[in-house]
Amino acid sequence: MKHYRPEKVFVDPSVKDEPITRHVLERLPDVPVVFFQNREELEKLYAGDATLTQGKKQLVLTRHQGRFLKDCQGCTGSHVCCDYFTVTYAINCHLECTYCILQAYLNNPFMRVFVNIPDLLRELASAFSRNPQKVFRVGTGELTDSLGLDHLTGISKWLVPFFGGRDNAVLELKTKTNNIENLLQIASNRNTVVAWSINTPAVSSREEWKTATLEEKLAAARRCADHGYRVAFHFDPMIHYDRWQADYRDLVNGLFDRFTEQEIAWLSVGSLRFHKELKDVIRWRFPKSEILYGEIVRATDGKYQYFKPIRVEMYARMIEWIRSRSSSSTVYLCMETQDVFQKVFDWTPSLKGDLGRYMDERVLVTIKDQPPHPAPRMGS
Amino acid sequence: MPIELTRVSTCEITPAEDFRISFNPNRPPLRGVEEFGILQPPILLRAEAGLLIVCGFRRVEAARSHGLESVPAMVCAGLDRRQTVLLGLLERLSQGELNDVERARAVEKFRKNGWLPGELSEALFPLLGMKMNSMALEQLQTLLQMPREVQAKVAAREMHLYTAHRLSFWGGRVEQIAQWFSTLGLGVNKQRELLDLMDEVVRVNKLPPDELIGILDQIRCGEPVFRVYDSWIRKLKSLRYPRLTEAERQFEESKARFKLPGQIQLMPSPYFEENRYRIAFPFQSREELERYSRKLLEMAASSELDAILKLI
Repeated sequence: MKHYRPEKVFVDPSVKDEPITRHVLERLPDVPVVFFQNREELEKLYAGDATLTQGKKQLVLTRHQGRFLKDCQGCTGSHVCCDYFTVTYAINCHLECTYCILQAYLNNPFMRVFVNIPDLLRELASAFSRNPQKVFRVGTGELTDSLGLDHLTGISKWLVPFFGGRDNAVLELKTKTNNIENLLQIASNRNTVVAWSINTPAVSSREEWKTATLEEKLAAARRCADHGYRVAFHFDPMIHYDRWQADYRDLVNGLFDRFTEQEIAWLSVGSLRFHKELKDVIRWRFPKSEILYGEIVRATDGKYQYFKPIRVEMYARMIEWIRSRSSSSTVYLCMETQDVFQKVFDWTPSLKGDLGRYMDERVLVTIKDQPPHPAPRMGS
Repeated sequence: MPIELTRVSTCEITPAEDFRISFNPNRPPLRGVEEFGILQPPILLRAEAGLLIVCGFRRVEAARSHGLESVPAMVCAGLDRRQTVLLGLLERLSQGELNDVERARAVEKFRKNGWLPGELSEALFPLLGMKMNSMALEQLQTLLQMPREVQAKVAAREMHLYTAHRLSFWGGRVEQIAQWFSTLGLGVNKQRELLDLMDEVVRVNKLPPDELIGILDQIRCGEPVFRVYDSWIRKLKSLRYPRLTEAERQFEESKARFKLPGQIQLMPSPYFEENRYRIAFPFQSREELERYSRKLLEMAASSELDAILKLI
């Protein structure tokens, strides 16, 4: 796949000396750089067609003013929460998935990176040490692709060592790319999980533009696993289409042909869901997308998703295929109701607490089960 | 910018509409022209082709139709076409907010008169009360290609810009569908719901659009006007959501077998999403409550209940 390269870089002068800023600018010597003072000025500087497509080509390096670490906002009150934490060091994604919520969620179209990473690490260190009994499963892929810009920012080289050896924290780098070179240049550790969102080739080729292909993702995951990282896979969003059963079964089998269950930290399964506002955006930006034409109805939380029997059928079959290859992998449903958990797993977790504890227990066991992989010599 | 007030011959004024932004087909003709002439001078631009109207198209039309040979006019000198189109827009804005057809025309006229995309974003869109948005922009452009009846509906806010854009996908059927909207008196929300469903049914079922139009027309011909919309939606939903429709059918069939009195309401959650049903009934005496309770106990003992519970 082709890695991200902006047409222009906008720099907040207050971060011009931050290491990440310098790192990015060194890697883009022939890309124009503009310094701006505030957001209004930024919007004025970029007076062109501020569409999402154009906006993504503008990289903004700035400072994050608030808290980096937050509870995951993915689940509403009617969904089972897995007590995940998110860290936002970048907003927006250069990949073009037709179903991406960011298209209707963000209030400006630029690719923004918050480069004050030392502040982020201080905040995390403080949170982890103030709550030693709590397990922090932390993801960075909520509002961006965790590794999408890593060839420019090198943020993974800060985060991975920071998490290494901690007793109560795990970092999940969730991606649809194969941008893993930085990860292979540093020592792996058991606190870092490199995760891929994967889908069938039919869905991926039609609905996930600019992402790595399934083959590229699995090859990258293999290299990470060989380097000592644990890997994870998210079958999300599952799409219901004519050949879904055969294709998703092949996807699961292909995965377990390449990875042992010990190498896989967790697997999640979820299905297409979106806000009303996204429907118009998808129709506009991706008129040939088939994604809106499943039997999609409005759920209790106002989002659109497949009619429940379809979701239950898809999840149940996926779990069946996964279990036929791995009896003990950690598998969960993402953003689903208690009722659907009951139908699929014969288990009704509480809305908050049970699923988080289940995940934490499994994470804690594996944090300590193997020594970290040594760092390779640079250039090897 | 010198603007000269003068009397000009109506023959000198060209019929060209290079700067016309206003669009309001429902506005009545100008009155009082015969008695008093044109009281408020139109603004004109002197060009090679003659005098071009910048603002005051209705006034000049009225003057011509009443046979006036000349009118008082403000004639701009030294303005280029870029400035002139801006002047025309500002004059129109002084009379009130633009409708969507006028917004579409403003964008078109600005472009044709030399405004660049970046300038439109910075100068024009704020005046139109919009942010630069390529989706809205395409919808506006499409609107200008639509039949005048559709434009009139949009201008009168009887149809959303979005709906007009969706309508454009129906090619040769646009006028027929717009006519249905009028005949059935469908409001903007119903128009949108209907068109969205029609689009989705065509995509989901790989149905030729003309075939769907035929199905809907057949329903329309066989139903009284007040029932047509509901029958259309029922038919379209059955094509769009076959599994949900089947679940609803099974529910209604099973429910009918319980022979519940009309006062007892048995309701699933929307789309059977929740794993429970709700029952509601009013009562005002012990006897009434006992009667309904007995009926519900009968229902609880019935084998039909299993069929209904399976649905959730």
